[in-house]
Amino acid sequence: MIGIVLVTHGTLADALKNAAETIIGPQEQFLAIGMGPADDLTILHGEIEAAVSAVEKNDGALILVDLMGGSPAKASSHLAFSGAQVICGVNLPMLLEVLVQREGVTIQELTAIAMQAAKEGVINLTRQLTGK
Amino acid sequence: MEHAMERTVILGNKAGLHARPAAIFVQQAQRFQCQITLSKNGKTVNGKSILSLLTLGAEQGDQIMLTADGADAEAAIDRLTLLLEAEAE
Repeated sequence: MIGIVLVTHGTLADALKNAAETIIGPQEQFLAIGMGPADDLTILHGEIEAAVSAVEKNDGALILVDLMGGSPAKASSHLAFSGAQVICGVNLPMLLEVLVQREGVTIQELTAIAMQAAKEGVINLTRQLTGK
Repeated sequence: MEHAMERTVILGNKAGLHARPAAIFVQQAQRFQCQITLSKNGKTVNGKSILSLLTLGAEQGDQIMLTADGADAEAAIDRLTLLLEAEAE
């Protein structure tokens, strides 16, 4: 099973993890890292590396970041250069789909699933229900 | 031998096919190679996508058509039927 590491500003990572586990129950090989405003990038990089080691077991890990260009993304970019798979723009639809589909797939396959799910999860509910 | 199979199932879980039961279904479905769909009232969704499954809004007692298309379709239908018909998780 592919491990999942969430890295975001503030407490978004913890909140996303909490929301996901509220819906589908506690998940293994799944860690959340939140970044405070004064946090050191080098320390954050170390924390992400440690989290990846903790979750990856035999199948590697996927790092999901909140925002392109922010410090979580910058800290993760070092890992991306070393071959880690990092995706920016995590939302709850992406996270849910990734958590339930991460067994028996490659990291490339899971990445494609994640990207697709994130977009498909954005729905104009009013238009869908009322046509307007 | 590849073949497509379908079976109509009555959903047993009191909580319906939401949240954790849906997650468990997808995790199980994903282990099979075949394509899996569920249909309710003419709406068909991909059984390996939790987001799609949640849009089906299946409740206890609903008649669901389960289809599997591929090499392990029979095993998938058998396993997933048990899961859908079960009353508890």
